[in-house]
Amino acid sequence: MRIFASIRGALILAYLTGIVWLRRDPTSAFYLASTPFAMFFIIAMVTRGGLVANAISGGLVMLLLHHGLSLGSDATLYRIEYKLQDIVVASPISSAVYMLGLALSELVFAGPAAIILGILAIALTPGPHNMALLTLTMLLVWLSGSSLGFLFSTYVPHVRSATQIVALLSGALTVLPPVFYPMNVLPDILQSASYLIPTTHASLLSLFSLGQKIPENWSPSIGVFALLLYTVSFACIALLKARWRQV
Amino acid sequence: MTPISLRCEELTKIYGSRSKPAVDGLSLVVNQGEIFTLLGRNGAGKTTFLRIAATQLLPTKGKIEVLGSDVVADPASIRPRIAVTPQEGKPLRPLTVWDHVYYWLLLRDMSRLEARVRTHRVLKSLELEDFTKAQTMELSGGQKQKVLIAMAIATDAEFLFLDEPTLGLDPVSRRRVWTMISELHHQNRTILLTTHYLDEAEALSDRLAVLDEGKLIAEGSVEKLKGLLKETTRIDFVTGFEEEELATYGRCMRVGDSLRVLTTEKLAAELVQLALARRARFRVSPTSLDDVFVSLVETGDMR
Repeated sequence: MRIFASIRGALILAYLTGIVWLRRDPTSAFYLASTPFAMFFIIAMVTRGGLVANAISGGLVMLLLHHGLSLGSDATLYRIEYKLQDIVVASPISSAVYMLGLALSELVFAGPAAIILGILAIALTPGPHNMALLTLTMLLVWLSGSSLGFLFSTYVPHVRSATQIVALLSGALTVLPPVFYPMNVLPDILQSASYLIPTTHASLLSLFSLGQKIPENWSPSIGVFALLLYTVSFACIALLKARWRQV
Repeated sequence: MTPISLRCEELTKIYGSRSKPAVDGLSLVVNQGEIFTLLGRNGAGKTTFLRIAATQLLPTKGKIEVLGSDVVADPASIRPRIAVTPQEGKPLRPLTVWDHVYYWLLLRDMSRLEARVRTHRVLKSLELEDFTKAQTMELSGGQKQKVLIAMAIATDAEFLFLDEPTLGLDPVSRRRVWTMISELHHQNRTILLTTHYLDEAEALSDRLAVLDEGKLIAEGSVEKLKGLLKETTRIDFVTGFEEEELATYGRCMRVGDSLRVLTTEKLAAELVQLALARRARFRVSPTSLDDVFVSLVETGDMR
């Protein structure tokens, strides 16, 4: 498909499975946003506002990653229950357009919660450059999550497995590494290990955007480079290794 | 010479670690503009073959070409020219009937005007026009199935793959779908159909193939397949005869509460005389595709 037709195709898919769906079933947006908000609430309350920046940053990272990964459970549902992937495969629509369309629809579902967390973030953000960096960070987190989600959706045999994988990956990438809590509470060896996890960089970038202190051995350029590397790698793996045609 | 839409040679599909092939050395040709129907029992390999041809599933070995392109090596040149109705598909719950067809056509790069015209036409033909704005979760099972059929036949695809499209439809709706399929046939579009309804196969098909355990066991026009059966007459007896006696007149089988015998015209005449003398309850009819199918896949014996 031509580039214009591809973008148009992705936007149509996003409109149908995102905007139209959310308009007719608005409760789905609250359901998926409940965990990031619960984490935000607990951390902000327990620390009496002391770690509110970590809570906002962590909430945003978890929200965008979870909605990216949720593409996996939705795409699995569409493939197994609805046979939508079968219909799409036998058509001019490419796997990239399908993935982008579904990923954009997940972004639509993340929208209401992201707006609330974004407003809180604006209150802490020193300037527009920081806001731009925060937005870029969140887009990369969403794209990484979407690529991983699409990849596993083409392999898992059951819808239930997909839901479990989303919960597992989301927890492993946002609760274990220093996403909701400061890096310095970890022992030195775990601090070094946590730099191998993309969400650590996302969290540090968003904390930097919110005007918070960052570790001395890390810089925003390292964070952007690492996050870009992960995002491009995940996207390439998803497009090359996703099982578009079944075997 | 008629152009060929599908050609496969020694096509085989073995799923995962299974030892038994789902499709076993299949070789056949589908001509352009023809309705070609695949018949077979559950698990005979119909859907597997259709999914391979529709570029949804990779074969294990063999060669298959659709619309002149290799299905394995070059699916991208086939996909814009085909459309499918999958078996047991479902429309997306909160979307309306209109959303499904209209936006599907836009996704396939059709202009808004053409998509609108085609959507109106297909929804009217399938008696879905009163449900245009209904969310598909409000529809009956048959109406949902019609939405999926509408998505495929509203396209401008040259080759349509319809996998048990009328499953779950009421008899009136089935005939509506048949009419739509016949219209596509008149537009010289090629259709690969799978069905368990033999009346449907008989009404629509130019040619049929019967699969059993992944193998092609018969192929040809309805008339040619009917000709495979030596017996021309079917008599169903509710009373008056025992199975052993009827077996001397032809091929005898129990169907529900009655006994069915397939026999020649000459022996049928004798049997009818005897039945009338005994005041037996019976019904006479010509043998059908149903009888051919059962003989092929159940007994494997066409005499």
